[in-house]
Amino acid sequence: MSLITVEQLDHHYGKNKVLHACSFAINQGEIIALLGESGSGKTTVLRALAGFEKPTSGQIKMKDLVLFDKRTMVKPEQRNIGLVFQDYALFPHLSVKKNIELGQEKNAAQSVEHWLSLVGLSEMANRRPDQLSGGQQQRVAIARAMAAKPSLLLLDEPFSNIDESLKFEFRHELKTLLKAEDVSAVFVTHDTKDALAIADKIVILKDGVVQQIGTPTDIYNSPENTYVTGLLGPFNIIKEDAASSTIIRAEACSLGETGIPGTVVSSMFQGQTYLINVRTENTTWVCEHSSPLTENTAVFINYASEHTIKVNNS
Amino acid sequence: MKQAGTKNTSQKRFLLDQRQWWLLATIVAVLVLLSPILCLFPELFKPLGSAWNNLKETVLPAYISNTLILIAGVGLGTVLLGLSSAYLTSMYRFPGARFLRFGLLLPLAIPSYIAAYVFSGVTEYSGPLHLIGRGLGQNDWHVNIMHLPGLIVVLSLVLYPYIFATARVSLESRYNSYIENARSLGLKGTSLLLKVILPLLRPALIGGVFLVIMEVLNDYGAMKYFGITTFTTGIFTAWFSMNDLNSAVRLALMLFVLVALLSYLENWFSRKHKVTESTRSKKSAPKKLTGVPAILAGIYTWGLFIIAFITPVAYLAWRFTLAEHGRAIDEWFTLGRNSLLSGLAGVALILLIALLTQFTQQLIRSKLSRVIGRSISIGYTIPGAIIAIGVLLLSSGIDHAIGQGLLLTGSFGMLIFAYTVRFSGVAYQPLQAEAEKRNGKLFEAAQSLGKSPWSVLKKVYLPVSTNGILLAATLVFIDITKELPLTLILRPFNFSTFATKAFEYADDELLSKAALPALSIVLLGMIPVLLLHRTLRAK
Repeated sequence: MSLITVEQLDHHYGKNKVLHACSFAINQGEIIALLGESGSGKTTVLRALAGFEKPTSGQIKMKDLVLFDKRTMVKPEQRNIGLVFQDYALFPHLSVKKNIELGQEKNAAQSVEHWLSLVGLSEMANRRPDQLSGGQQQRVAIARAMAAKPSLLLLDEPFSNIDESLKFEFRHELKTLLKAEDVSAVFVTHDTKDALAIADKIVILKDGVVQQIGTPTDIYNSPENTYVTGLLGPFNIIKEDAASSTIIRAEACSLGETGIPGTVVSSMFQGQTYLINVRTENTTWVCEHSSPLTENTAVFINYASEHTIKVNNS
Repeated sequence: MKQAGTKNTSQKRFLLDQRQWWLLATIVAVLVLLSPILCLFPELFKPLGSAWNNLKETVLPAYISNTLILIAGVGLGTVLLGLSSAYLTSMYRFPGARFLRFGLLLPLAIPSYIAAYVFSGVTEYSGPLHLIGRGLGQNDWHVNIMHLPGLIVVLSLVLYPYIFATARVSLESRYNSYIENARSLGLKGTSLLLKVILPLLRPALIGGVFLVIMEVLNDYGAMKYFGITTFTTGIFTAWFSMNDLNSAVRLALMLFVLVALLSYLENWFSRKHKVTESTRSKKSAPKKLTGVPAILAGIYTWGLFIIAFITPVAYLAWRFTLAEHGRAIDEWFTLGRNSLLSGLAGVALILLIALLTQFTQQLIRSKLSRVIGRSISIGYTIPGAIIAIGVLLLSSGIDHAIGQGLLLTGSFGMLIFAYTVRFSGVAYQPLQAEAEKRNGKLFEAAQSLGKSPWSVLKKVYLPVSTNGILLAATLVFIDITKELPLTLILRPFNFSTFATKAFEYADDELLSKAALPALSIVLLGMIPVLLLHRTLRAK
C-alpha cells in the first residue's frame, strides 16, 4: 500500500484553476520531486499535502486514513507531515537547539544532539538563527522537521537559496540523510537538475495538470510530450503531425562532414560543451559540440535514429 | 514514526474544534465591538421630536457647509505644507534639512484642541504676537484667527505631518527607483515634480488626506473653541444642551454616512491608481542647495517647524510659568493617575482583542477571518462622538433591561469599552505588520511540527510578536491619553484626564492652568512621533 495517495485533486483560486485532476502516489522511503515552472501548481500540491490549503475537490490519503476529501480535512498539526519552507521559517526567538526541540515529543528516542550531529551543526546548538549562514539555516530546518519524526517530509524549493557551487554537495547530503532515516519526502523544484539528481520519482506539472510521472531515467528516455522533453534540455523536432512529434535531443546530435547541411548561427558556451544553433533549409537546429564554431560556417548535422523519441504534442 | 490523526477521539474532537473556538471568540469580540455602532441605526425609526425639525431648519445647513469647507480646506492646506516640506527635506540638502526630516513630524504630538487655544492665545490682543507688534511700534496691528479660515490654518499646521510622513517615505524609498530613472532620462526640477513625482505620490497623498479628514471629523475641542459649528459640535449640542438623543443620533449617522462615503472613495481611488512599489534601492544623496535657494528652503522649512511646533510648546511653557505651581502640580498627579489608569486599562483590553483577532487571522487564513480582522479597524475611522453616542445607547439599553439603575451608563468600564471600540484598529496595525513580516510561515512551521493552535500562540506567536505588541501598546496608550470627545461624553462623574482638564480650562479661558496638562500630552505625544520617525528611517 502506498504511504500517500493523491487522487483527482482539483483546486481553484476564485476563477483561476490551479490544479486539475492531479493524482500520484508516494511509497514508503521514496523521494518524489514535483517539477514544473512557476505557476504550475506544485507549491499548491505541497501545501495541500501539509494541510495549509484546502483543495476544491479530490482526495488525499495516508495509507488508509483519509486526510482530505469532501467530508474530511485533517488539521496540519494532526497530519504528522513535516514541512521545510523555502525561507526555512526558523523561530527567531529560539536557539538552534530549541528550534529542533520544539518539534520533538517529550520522550523522543533520538536526542537533539543526534539531529545536530547528523546535519553537522553540533557546534552551533546555542546560536540563534540569524547567526547562521543560509546553508546552516537550511540544515537546521531539515533537522527540525525530521526530529518531529514525520511520516512524510515536504520540502519547498530546498535548493533555491543555495549557491550554485554548494548545490552538488547539498543534493548529496540531503539524499543521504533522507535515505539513512528512511524518510519519505516530496520536494518542489523548478530546476530539472535537482529533480534528476535526487528524486526516485518525478511528477511533472504544467498549468495544474500532471504531464508525466516516472523515474528520472524514464522521463529522460521516454518523455510523454514535447513539454516534458523541453524541461530536460533543448531538442529538435524531426517529424511532426497533428498529435505527435519525433524528436532528437541536442546532445544526441553531432556535427560532421555528412548529414543535413546547414550554417552556424551562433555558439553558446555551457561548460564542457557548446550549444550550436544551425540554420538548415527548413528550420533551425540545436546541437551540442565540443568546440565553438564561427558564424556562417557550413556544417552537416548527424544523429542516430535509435536516439529519436516519439512524443505527444503538448 | 508517529501516525497521522492517531490521537484519542475526545482529544481529536477538541483539537478539531480549537480553530472554530478561536474563530467564534473573534466573531463575538468583533460583534461586541461593533454593537455601539449598530445600536445607532434603530434610532432612525423612532418618531422625530420638534427639536430635530428646528435643528434642520436653523443650524443643519451651517453644520453641513462648515464641515465640508473645513475638510476641503484642511485637506488642501495639509497637502501644500506636507508635500512641499517633504519634497525639500528629502530631495535637497540645506542647513538643518536632516534634523527637519524628524522635526517636521513633531507637530503630530500636539492635539488639535491644544493647538487651537495655543494659536488663539498667541494671536489674541494680550498675546505674544501683539506684544511684539506693539514693541515694534505697530499699535493698531490686529490679527484675528478665530474664524473658519483661521481654524483651517491651525488644523493644517498640526495635521500636515500625516502628508509629510507619507510623502517622505514615498520619495525616499518606495518610489526611489522610478525617480532616479526619470532623472537618468534627463528630467529635473518642475518637470520631474509634475510629470513623475506627483502622479506617483497621488494614491499615497489621497490616503494621507483621508487620515487628515478623519482627524478633522473627530475633532471637537478646536471647533468648539473657535465657535465653528459642525456635525461633531452639533452632536454635542444636541446631546448636552438640548438633551435630544434622537437628534444627536441623526447627526451622528449623517456624519457616519459622510465617513463611509469618503472611505469608499479613498479605497476606490487607491485601487484605481495603484502604483507598484519600485525595487528598494539605496537612496542616492540629496542634491546640495547653495546660495539663495538654500536660504529660501531653510526659511520655509525652519519657519514651518518654528510656527507649528516650537511656538505652541514655548507658549505652553510660558503660560505654565504664570500658573499657581503648587496646586497645578497637585492636580497634575490626580490627572496623571486617571490618565494612566484609563490608558493602561484600555491598552489591556485592546491588546487582548487585537491579539485574538490577529492570531485567528494567522491561524485561519480565510476571507472570513480577513474581513473580521478588518472590521476591528472600523472604529478608528468613526469619530469619537459617534462612538460615544452608540456606547451610551448600548449601556442605557442594558441598564434599562437589568432594571437596577445606572450600572453601566457613566461607568469607568463603559469608557474603557468605548476606547476599545475606537482604538482596536490602532493596535491591530502593528500586529498585522509584524505578522506580514513573517509572512505567516513561522506559524505554519509550528503547526507542521504538530503544535496545537494554543501551543503556537504561546510558543511562537506571542514571543515573535513582542515588538509589535509593545508598539501597539505605546500607540494605544498615547491615543487614549490624547482622546477628548469620547472621554468628555462618557467619563464617570468627577473623573478628569489630562485631555479633559486641558480642554475645560482652555474653554474657560484659564490658559495658564491648561498649560501643564497640555504640555504633558504634547510630551507624551512625542513618543509615537519618535517611533514613527524610526519606522520611516528603517523603510
